[in-house]
Amino acid sequence: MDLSKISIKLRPRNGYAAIDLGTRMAQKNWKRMFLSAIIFTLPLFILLIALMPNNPIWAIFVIWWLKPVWERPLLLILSQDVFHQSLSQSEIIKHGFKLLFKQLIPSITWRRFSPTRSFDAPVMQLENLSGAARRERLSALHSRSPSSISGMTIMMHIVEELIAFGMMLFILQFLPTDDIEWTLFLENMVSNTGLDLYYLLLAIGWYIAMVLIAPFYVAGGFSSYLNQRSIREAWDLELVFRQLAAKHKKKSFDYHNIAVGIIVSFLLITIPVTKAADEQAVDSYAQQKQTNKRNIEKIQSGPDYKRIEQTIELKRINPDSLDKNKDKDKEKEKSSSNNLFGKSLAEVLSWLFLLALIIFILFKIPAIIEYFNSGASSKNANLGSKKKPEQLFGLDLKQETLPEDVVKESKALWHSGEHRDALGLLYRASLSKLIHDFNCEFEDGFTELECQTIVERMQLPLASYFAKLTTVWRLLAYGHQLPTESSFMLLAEQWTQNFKPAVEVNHQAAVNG
Amino acid sequence: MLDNTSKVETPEGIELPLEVAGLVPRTMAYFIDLLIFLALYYILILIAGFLGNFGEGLFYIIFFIIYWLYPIIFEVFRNGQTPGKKSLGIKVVHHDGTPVSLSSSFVRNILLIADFLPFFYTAGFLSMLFNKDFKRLGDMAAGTVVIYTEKENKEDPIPTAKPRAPAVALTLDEQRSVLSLAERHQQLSEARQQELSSLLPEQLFSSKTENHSRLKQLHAFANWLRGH
Repeated sequence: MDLSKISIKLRPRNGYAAIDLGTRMAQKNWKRMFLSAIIFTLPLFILLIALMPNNPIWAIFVIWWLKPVWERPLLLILSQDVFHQSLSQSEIIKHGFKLLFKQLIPSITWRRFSPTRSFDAPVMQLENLSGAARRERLSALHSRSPSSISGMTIMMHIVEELIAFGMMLFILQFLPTDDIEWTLFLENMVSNTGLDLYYLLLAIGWYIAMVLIAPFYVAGGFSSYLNQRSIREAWDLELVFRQLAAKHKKKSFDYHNIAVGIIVSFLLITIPVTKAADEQAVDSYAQQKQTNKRNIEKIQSGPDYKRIEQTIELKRINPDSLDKNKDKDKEKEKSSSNNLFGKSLAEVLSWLFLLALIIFILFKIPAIIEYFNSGASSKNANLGSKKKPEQLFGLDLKQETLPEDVVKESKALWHSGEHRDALGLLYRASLSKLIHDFNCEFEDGFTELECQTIVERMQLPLASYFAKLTTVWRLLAYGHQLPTESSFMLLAEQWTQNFKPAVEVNHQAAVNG
Repeated sequence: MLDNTSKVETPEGIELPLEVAGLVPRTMAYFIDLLIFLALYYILILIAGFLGNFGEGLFYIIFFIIYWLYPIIFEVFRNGQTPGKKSLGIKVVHHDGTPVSLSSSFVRNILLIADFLPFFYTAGFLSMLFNKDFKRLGDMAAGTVVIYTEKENKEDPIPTAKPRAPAVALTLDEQRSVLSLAERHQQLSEARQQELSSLLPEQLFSSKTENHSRLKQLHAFANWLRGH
């Protein structure tokens, strides 16, 4: 057994989790297992029904009793798959038939009702043990084995029977008889009359249920068996340790190779005879390269590197070609006459829909126009307000808040000792004037220096004054350094001069220019 | 590699494996719950019998409430576990691993009716067998799965030895395996442990380590990995 080829994740699981892993294994191989189960049972089932048409329940009972036998091919499929080997369906049938007769008598007599049937099966079938060896092996595997395995047998049995009844009722629902109620079935069962149909259906339902459940039951037992062995023999550790060993072996082998390579290359350099061999090596290298290239091209031209699109186009069939087979044509005409009503209905409906749409739009036109207008105007309004911020770095720039005579007011503030407010008023008024009269494009979130840069860029005559004012203001506001009285007075005197109403300034600028 | 987990990827790109529970444990849990339910039902009948017609009306109302709310209440307020699920060590969560919400629990339990069709959970059984995450129809609608509750993270005792670092750096998987070998020293036979340790490359051990003393050194590594 080569553990490196195992296709399930090895780790110690609890008993139920192992069964669930088995369910996944069965899901993976479900089609093949299902097919095998049918191949090995259906002929027998049909034969038995034919032999005992009055007792279908007996037929199904025989199939049920022989379960351990026809479950063997299913186990074969699973065990092959776990180690990444897959047999073709015919091989499975061939090998399966051989398996059927292995330890046949014990399997269908005293071992038939073992609650660990599917767990024990691999010991007999895969390990080929019998007699005392088998017993010993089983007792070893069963010690400390979880109760989940017999639990699974009981649960699967119950589930199988419930599904059998479910299947029977499912089939009953499709039968066009009057008495399909299953309460009637119960009644009949008590009175024991008129049950033939029900028994037949029950047998069929039960057969379906058995074939459906068997892969999962076998897989659950097999997976538990693998889990138990994996725990007892630490397969998961063996796998990791072997990989670790292989890793190190490869590494040391590499060193060896490199050493040999170095020695060989020395020899090649020193011995001239090897030149021919060298050329040959080059040739073979070129050849190798070419074949590689060819291989690459081959792969690239393959389906993996191409986008293949399948499109289905519906083409109108030429009416002439239809004439050739008149019978079909007639049929079509028939069906089309049947469809005529539907067609015309669809046409009328679509015209109605179009009409309704047009009316709706006509009604809504005023609203739509209004919507677009309002959108545009609100956009414009936005633009206008964006140009003129009402506040910059915490200073209120609304024109209404400024006093009439800014210079006089600020001087008064200075004399009353409120130096900060005095200079603040001056600066605030400057900004406000710049925004409203000189149309400076200050934005929300500008700093003092950014405002200054804007003013300089606009090449206003007051730029140098504004720069001076900004410097003094920044020193006071952030550095808490008071300007001297004379420098403040100078700034205040020059303010009026610089911030005359914009029209005059512009006029002046025009004159100067 | 086939495994019995369902992988959930968190927004951080980490894969969490949820160990999903299948037909057998879930059916067992259901039968335990059914027994508890039948016991309640029996007691209810006894009490209602004393109250005559009024008792009958009361019985139907309470029966309805218990029948529909029993699983929902337990799942939402008891960490996704009805008593049956608790005894089997499984619980209901959303398929991304988060605790089950009231609405999801409601959906999955109302849809028990769909799973019941056509007779005693045939649809549910088949759905659980053939769905990759063992979901029944109600689980698919509610986006829930049933998973195994995680075991308490208790440390198995390992044989004490003077801690020692392995001579070669080991990957996480290899470290785990070395530790696991020490943890399982009581379950595995002595011979098997020797055999396993002889598989390892000699670079791992200090030079001049005899084959039979490898196991002791592995135990020393395990102690070192545990941080003793």
